[in-house]
Amino acid sequence: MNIDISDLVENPTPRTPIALVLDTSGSMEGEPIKELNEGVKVFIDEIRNDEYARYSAEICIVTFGKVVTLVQDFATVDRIPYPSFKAGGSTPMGAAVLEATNRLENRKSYYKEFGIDYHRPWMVLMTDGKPTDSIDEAVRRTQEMILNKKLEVFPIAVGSEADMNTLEKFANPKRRPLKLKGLCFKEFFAWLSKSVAQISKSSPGDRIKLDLEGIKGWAELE
Amino acid sequence: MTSWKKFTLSIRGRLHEKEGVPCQDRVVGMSYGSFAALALSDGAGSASLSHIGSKIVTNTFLHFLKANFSEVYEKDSGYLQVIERIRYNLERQAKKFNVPVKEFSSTLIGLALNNEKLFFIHVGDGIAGFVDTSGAKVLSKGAKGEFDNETYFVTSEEAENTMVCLKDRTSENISAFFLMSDGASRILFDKKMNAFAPAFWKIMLWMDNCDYRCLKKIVGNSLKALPAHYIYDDFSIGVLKRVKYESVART
Repeated sequence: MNIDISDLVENPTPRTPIALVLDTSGSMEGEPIKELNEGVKVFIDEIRNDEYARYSAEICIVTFGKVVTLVQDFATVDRIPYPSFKAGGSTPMGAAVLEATNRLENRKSYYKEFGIDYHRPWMVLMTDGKPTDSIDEAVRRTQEMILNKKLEVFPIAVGSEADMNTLEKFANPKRRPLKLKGLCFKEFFAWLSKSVAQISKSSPGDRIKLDLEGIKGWAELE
Repeated sequence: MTSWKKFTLSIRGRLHEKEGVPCQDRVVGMSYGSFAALALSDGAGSASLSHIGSKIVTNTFLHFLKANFSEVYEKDSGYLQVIERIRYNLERQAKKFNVPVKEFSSTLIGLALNNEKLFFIHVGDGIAGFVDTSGAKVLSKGAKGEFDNETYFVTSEEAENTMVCLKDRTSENISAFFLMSDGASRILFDKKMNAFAPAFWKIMLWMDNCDYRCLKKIVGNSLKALPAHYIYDDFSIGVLKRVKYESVART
């Protein structure tokens, strides 16, 4: 008498869509872009090594450096190659955020069509500068999603030139943008992967509980 | 006279094992003469004492229904009476611990039977169903938010508006009632096909042949041996199987 895998049904694992919207403009040249590449690699590895997140997390990568590039549409980590971002050009942040929100909406439609359960989407916005395009529509759409509890946004500033006022506009009014400690990309992405793996049951609309102690490892806290 | 055989099993999910967090699910059953009841509760991961909350929710349901079945069955306000009683016990405990009652947030699937009368209440997620001569059917899928991990708890303001309630006469054609937490339904219920897994039918069959402890051991050990992502979440199942029906079917 035994129960094995063949006796069970395998409903699709509920997905957690995560959009990484990353600044690859000229000012990221040198160490920052190198560390960003390493950080995203850590993120992919950590998710890959987590026995649940590797089935659950779906990652989309949008970069903005001169132009907006969809580096990776939503996919589980087993289908995502390590990135090799190159820095250069202007900072079209508004268009990049819009691209990410469009991809998120498309992915949600896909989940609904195929009866796949999903968690609230996350969007990480990392920049070391100021946008060179209009962010009005991107801010309006992001804030609408935040207000309706449809999106968790993590705006992260890199370096002292990052425009905190801009990031503030994309942030949840109850959660201020954070500033990366030095070039602690790896520490940030390790924390992010851990947070993704720990999404717990809560009431509709509740804020996601974050490992605040872990944030100290990568963020400059006032 | 009908009597009911019970089976209940909760297993701590791998994530909770890894984090050293107790199992937040709780399922209890009672069969006493013509009265039988099952209650299952899944505590909120975001609430620090939900493992205690789920115990209070299930125990209160069972004992309150045992003592007051006729009253809650007959009264229109019966469902609210049950919810209020559970909330009262949770609030009392919250005062004792000096924490907000939210820290005890837990769902409820409660089912009570008395002389072929069925009282059912479902707040939050999970699945309840029954088995009759044509197979297993879903009685309720509860209510949840847009996102998978978001659901309603007994203490939620929306509990009254989202709960599924049912009072009805049962039929002798119904051979069993069952409750599953969302962790259990993920591997025992095919959402697309609306069908139950072979493992579910094995449990139903083994209930006839195994004693309670032996069955718990067999099912528990089998599930614990599965790859981690199958039992990532806490797993709970509760079954009440009609004893009289079985003996008739065998002759």
